Amino acid sequence: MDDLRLPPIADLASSGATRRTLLKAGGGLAAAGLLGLGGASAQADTAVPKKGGTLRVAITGGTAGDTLDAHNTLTQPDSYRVMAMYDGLVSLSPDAQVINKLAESMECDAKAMSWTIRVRSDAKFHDGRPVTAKDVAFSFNRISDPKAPTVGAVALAPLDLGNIQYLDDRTLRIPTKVPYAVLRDVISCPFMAGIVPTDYDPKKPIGAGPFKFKSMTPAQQTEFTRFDEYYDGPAYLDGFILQEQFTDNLAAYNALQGGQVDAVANAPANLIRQIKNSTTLKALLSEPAEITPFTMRADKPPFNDPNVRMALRLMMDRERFVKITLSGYGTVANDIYGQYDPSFDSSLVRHQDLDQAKFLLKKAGVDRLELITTDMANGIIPMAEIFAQQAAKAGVKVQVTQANNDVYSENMYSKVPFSQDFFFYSPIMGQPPLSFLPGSFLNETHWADAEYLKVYDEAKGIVDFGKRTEMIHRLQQIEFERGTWVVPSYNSVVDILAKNVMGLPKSRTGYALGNFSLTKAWLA
Amino acid sequence: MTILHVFFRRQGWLGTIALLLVVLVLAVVILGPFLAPQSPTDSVDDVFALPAPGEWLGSDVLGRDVLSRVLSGGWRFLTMAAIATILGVGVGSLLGVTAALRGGVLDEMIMRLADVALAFPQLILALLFMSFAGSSLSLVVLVIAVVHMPQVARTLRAAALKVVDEDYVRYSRSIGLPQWRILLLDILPNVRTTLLVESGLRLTFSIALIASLNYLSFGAQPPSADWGLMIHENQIGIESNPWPVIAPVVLIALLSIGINILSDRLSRGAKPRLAASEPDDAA
Repeated sequence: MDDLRLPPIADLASSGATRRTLLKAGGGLAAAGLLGLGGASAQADTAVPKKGGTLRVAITGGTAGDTLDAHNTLTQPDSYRVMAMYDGLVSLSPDAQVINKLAESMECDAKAMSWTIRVRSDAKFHDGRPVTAKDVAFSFNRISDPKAPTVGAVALAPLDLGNIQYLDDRTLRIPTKVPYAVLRDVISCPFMAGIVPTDYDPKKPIGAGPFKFKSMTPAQQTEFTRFDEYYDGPAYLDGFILQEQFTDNLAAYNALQGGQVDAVANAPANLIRQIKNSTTLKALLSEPAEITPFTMRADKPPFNDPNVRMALRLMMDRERFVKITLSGYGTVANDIYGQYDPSFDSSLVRHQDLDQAKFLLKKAGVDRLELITTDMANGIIPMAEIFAQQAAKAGVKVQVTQANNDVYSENMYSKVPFSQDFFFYSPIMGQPPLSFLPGSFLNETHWADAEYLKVYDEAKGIVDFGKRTEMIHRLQQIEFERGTWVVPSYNSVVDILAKNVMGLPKSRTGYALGNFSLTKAWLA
Repeated sequence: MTILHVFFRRQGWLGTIALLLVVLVLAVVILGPFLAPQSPTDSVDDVFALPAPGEWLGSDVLGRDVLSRVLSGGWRFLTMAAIATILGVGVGSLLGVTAALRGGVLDEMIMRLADVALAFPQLILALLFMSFAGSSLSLVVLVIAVVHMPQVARTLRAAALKVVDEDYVRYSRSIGLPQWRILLLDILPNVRTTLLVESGLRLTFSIALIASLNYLSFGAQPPSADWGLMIHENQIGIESNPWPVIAPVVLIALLSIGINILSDRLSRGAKPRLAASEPDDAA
């Protein structure tokens, strides 16, 4: 497997880089993450962890359509519910590397025409049954069900699930229809490919994750209890409650100050300044990881014109965008993602060019756009406003229309021509199956670039890391030149915690609460 | 002797202070957009920067100059409140006075509908309307006007009932004057004290309701500089720089207090034109 790795997070801290130099570098290292190691950020916890207690986590973004389904998530709270209850074969570590979870081993043959997967012997479901090879096959088939494909269906499409061989109870071999070397990367997204038992019922959800489901009221709260037989070490907490009843981050923050919750996940970055001198609160700051792209439908005017898409990318003052919308807690991005992937092409850097942006917009006859968005992730609305401000300087008036979360997810998502979205960190090859391939569940830009698809198809079958990296660079070049996302920043994720919440690690995956590492959390 | 002196002699120090408050805030509202030192929608500094020379109230959640947003954020707000009040008081008065004048089934119908509407708190009623009809500035104005109508109708009906049996109204009826003339020429002028008090009250309620709806993102949309919206946008940073919240709150409060006291003082000074007497508390 790939042996090229970025330095672990702890090493970054001692690199001596400053926030200014990192911002100028335009990506890669984590300026905000370094800041987070001191000052207002949560300090490394050296005390002996204490068992017990229930962690109450406030998060916004829930809807009446909140789900517990292992494979059908849409909102941030959905993702965290799924991460609590289900584990996949692999996942992302806090430092954004793909690591084994339920898989003891997972390897492809030399030509990437089959994958042999062995499940851990100590992995159990919440009802005590062992996780078996058949459960893996069932889960993959459920994800790929042609009658009801889920978020991960496109990622598993190259697998020949009709011809799975069971080598023993814990081992299976899955042939592929075409060479497919990147299966580990594409299923590392921790809310996409959880393993569930063969009699899985999402109404009575059972997984092999660290927490068991207890109760849920959509858009209000979900309650979980510790799974004592969790293979990776049971949590210290007795349980946790995901509380979504807060209308906005201020209400959640007020609840934290009032002691009604113990943590606000994904809080506004400007709160860091407010709690700097707090005796009761602290901040946990991730390295820049989350992306919040502006999404442009490639099949709808005016965005079917690549010049318009390019103009909106060129008009952005990205450093200012980071400074204002993230209070500086992030780094500049250049319309591509996967910055911690060893194959990432850091030579692609976008500079603001207002004259060219004006020229392209005038040529396309575009002077007015509507950006329809919703408060789906922290900072989204201010980002839209700053985008509109900057677009005005390029001669285009952007009307920002904020829709209700429920209305947006039911009626507008992937339908409106110009919007926003949020994504956690993903290895580069993991993002297209989510967002840019035919049938991708989250392909809200309806992009179908023939060259891009051809290059992706080729890249996914290459076992050799060096050769695959060359192809990935070409993919990124295409996205950089004519993609459908404006990605101005990599965002640090800020969690505000009560001082007695301990154990959460720093991370760079974009998932709140230190890569949602609730098994490590404890209450002092 | 200046106008202010005359006003002071007639209305006392409380009325004069109220007048000064209203004039002060109106000056901010009318002249503010021309005096704003920066664009109210451009980011010019870090977010929630503290006051400094050149940025006398610091910056807001998007690094915009707070002073410029305060100076630019009142005219639309106050225009909306004024139009909503004129509409609500105008139509509500006509309904109330008509009910008093006509009596019978029409009176019953108008009053029972008003009772139903009055059973809901005003803000809840406004939110109910807006959740059905969506949100836009014109709709906010219309909804607030409609929300005012029942209370105004009830109050004006009560005041008008004391006038409709006066001799001059009976005389007008006996000589066959059309009802609209009786309503406009005989009744309305003689309930003007109540109308004045009610208008002042409704204007302050309009201000509060518009601020509330804008605060709840039903009215003005970002990046508009609007006092209600400013409070909503910046409350998350109140501990970093309180001015983006305090400044609009203070202006709204001063305006509301000023209008309330002023309308009260003015109504005490007003005398009915023809009627022998008219109670101030007609409601």
